[in-house]
Amino acid sequence: MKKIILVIVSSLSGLLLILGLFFPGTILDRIRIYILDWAIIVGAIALAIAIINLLSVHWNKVFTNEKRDYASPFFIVGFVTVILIGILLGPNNQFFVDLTSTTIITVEASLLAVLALTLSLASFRFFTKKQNLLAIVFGISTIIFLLLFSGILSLGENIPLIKALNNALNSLPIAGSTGILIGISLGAILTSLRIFFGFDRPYDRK
Amino acid sequence: MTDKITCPQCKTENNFSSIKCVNCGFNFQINSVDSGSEPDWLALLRDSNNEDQSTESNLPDTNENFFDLNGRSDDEVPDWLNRIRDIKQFDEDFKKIESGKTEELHPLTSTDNSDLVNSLRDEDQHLDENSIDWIASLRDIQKPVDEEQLLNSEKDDESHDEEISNLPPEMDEIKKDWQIEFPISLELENDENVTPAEEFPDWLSNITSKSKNDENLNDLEIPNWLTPNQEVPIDRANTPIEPFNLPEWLSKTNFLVDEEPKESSELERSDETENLPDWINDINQNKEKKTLDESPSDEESEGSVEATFDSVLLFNKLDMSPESKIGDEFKLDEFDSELNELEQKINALERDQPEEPAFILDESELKSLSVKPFIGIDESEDWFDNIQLPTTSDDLIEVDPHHHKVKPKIEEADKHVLPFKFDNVPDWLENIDFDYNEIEPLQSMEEEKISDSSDVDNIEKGKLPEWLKAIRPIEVVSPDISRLKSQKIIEKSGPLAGLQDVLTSESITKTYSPPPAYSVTIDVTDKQKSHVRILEEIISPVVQFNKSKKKSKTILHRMEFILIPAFLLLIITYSLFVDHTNLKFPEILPAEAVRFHNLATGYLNRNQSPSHVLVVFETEASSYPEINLISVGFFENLFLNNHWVTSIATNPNGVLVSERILRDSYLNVPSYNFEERNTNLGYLPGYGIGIQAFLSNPKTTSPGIDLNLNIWEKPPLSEINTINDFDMIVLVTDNSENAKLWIEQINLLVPDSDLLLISSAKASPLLQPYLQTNQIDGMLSGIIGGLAFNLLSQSEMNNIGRYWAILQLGAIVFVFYILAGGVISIFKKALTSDNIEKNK
Repeated sequence: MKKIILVIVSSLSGLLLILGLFFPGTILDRIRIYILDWAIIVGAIALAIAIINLLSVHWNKVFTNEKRDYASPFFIVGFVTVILIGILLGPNNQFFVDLTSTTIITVEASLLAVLALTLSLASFRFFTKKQNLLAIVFGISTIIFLLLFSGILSLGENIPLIKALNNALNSLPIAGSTGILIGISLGAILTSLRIFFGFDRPYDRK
Repeated sequence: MTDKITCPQCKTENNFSSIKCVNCGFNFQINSVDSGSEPDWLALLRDSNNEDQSTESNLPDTNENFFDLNGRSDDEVPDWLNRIRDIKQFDEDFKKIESGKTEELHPLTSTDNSDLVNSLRDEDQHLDENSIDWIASLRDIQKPVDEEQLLNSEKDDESHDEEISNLPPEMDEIKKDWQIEFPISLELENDENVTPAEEFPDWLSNITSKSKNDENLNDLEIPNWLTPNQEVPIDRANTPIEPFNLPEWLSKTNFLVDEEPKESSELERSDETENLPDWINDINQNKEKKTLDESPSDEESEGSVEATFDSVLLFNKLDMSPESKIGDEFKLDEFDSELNELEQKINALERDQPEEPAFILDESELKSLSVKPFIGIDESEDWFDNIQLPTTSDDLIEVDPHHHKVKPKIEEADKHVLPFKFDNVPDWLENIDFDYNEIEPLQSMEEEKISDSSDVDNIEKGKLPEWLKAIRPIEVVSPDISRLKSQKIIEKSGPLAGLQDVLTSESITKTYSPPPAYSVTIDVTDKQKSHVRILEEIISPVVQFNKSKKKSKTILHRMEFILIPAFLLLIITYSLFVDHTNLKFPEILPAEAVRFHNLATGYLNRNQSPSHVLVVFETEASSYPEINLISVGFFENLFLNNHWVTSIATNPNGVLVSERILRDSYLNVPSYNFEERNTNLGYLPGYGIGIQAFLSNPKTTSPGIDLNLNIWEKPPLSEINTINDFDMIVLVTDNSENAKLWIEQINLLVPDSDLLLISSAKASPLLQPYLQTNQIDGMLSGIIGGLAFNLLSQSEMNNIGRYWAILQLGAIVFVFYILAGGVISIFKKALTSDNIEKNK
């Protein structure tokens, strides 16, 4: 019975959203907007719940003997500090913005720099690990697109052969990405229909 | 009749002196022996029964059983049955008086009876004068019953005791005749075919001796039917019995059988067992056992006239000593009282019954009658079972099992020879141990047998027919080893001779032979061998080499782990401090960058009044350096043209990144009133749903970061009611998935708005299809996009030029690493192969 109710609610919501899109300016469009507002509120609450869950996990790691993690105290201190400053000074406060943005951007940019160093080591060991055909193809394509996106090949565009080669190589990612997007779209449509007809119930997963 | 003899088989008349039948070759000697071993009247009774068999075939069970009852009860039937017969006789006589049509109803029986009586008369004249008296009494039986006789029946019953007292002189004569005749039968049984008869002489001699000793007692116990006044047995033996003829008294016999005989039979049995000799008790016990074992069906007893004759023969032979019935005197009183009751019931029934007898009617008519012809008797064929209820075990033995048992034996063996007389099982069936003695005679067994079968040894062993020997089970013939082992052996020779259970000096090992040697060779083909090899490879456990031992890292391995990242950092760091003024930029710029530049500068700047630009930040903080480098020229251009900039983020970090990027751009354009013209709507949750809701109704969906301020009421956004009021939407993203949501929703809900895209190099490949399909009006992707915008807008190129150079250098370094790694691996393999060859 519970499953049937859930299926009915989800299917009816999807039907109202679709009808609101096809009939703008009608009562169906208004219903669609109300449903979307509820979904946004629910999404915001879900974010708050996620934050509380993260805090509780690290709290348990600090104050329980099992699975003690020394990084958790830093997280709790940082969380409490930021939330207190944000509540006290407000989100538009420049100090608060500089504090948070500097911390976040620095950390995340450093992580990306470490990724670059790791990739350099991996590229060096690439052919030492595998010498089969696929590895060779992958290595060659990597070399070509590194040179292409870096703009090195664009320096020889005056040369007819290189210009034609440059244009041909630039069209390759477009073709690949187009195929990927079509596949993603078909999957999204199928998933929507499955949810709409109740074959797939992501809200009922335990 | 005197000169002729009738063949019992084909009924043809032959001369009296003839040995065999002229027609069928029947041996009259055997017949005469059989007939000689029994009274002549009984032989004639056979013929009459043979004749009656055809007429009685419709009722096999009742007739046969009744025949047995009549024919065999001559010397065994108890008094209660004699009383039943008397009652029946009275009843028949009474009916004859009533109807006077007895002769008409049973003409065949009357004629048969007359023939039988005539034959009896004729033969009796030739046989013995002593038998004339009692046969003459039999003649009297055939006389029609008078009313006077019926009326005097009570008197006859009352004078029953007197008749018994008158019996002895007549019975002595009959017994003498039988004793004379039985030796003849015994002599005939010594014939080759009559093997079991060899056993009889011993006990028969005992019988004769005992009978002589007990003669005085047995004279008093002679059954009633042997008395001259007893007319019923012969009469009933000659008359065919039909169920319709049965009168009511039979229904009352049921009561007699059910009630009285049980009591009387117990008394009789106790008396009989006391008076009977031991050998008869043994025989009776055997009979009882066999009757319990063999449950003869009624169907098996159909029409076995010959068997019944044999049974009668045997019965006469074995049970010739009359039963002692001491309790007859006090039973007569009971009998008189029952007789009176029966007469009263008969009178009552005569009044109730119709005048015409019921048996004249057809069966269908009988069924339709409301009053049944026989009261108390079922019309089904089970009526005789009611009569023949097993009163005692003796009755069972004496009536049923005889002819049931004898018949199949006669059929199997010679018809003239009885292979198994009566219930005596041959010795070879009872004592199979004789065979063991033949194989290995053992002293202990002999001793046991001598002690156990001292009586049995007196009886001569029977010879088995060949066919019976052939079908004997192998267990009977072969010795029982387990039994032989258990037997104790007495030493017969040597110093221990005479001792028992002595360990044998024979070497047991001599009895054993070495086990046979079998050659075990398997012919296996090459194909099978290959299959076995494959199977072994599959089944055999995988040999796991010990990989726990870490390889000792070489200096080169450690060096590459440190040197490669260090070399990259060195190159990039060096490039930051290198002068790139002479750096050569690409001459051909990307088309999407050109279109972006045209829309961002020409379209926005076409009007004199500043435009409203919505900037959506869908970026992570890690992409801030790249996005800032790409978009800084665009935002400087916006600030220079004093456009209204409203920013929103669907990523939590996007708010911070947007704030940082805009502020960085504001640093380059200080004339721009950033606080006034820049509005940050903050974070928009819900991803696709939030984007759709925001595009549908931006005011209600995103109230802004500062909740205290109603930003939609203030100047830049006070003019904005819908999403279409924005002049341009710029999407800044490093995530193709989230950018896709924005692109699709904007093209669906705001198709007329201009959408520009600033993406990182990572996200641009997947967004190229939207650019190719004109869902995106222009795009700046990667550093080259920012470089192109700066080149087109002729803005400052030093900063982006430096990173452009570092990017190119970094790309070359990565290509170098890949190629270097490939070359080193090739050399490593070559070196290892050379070392292996050298080692080999």
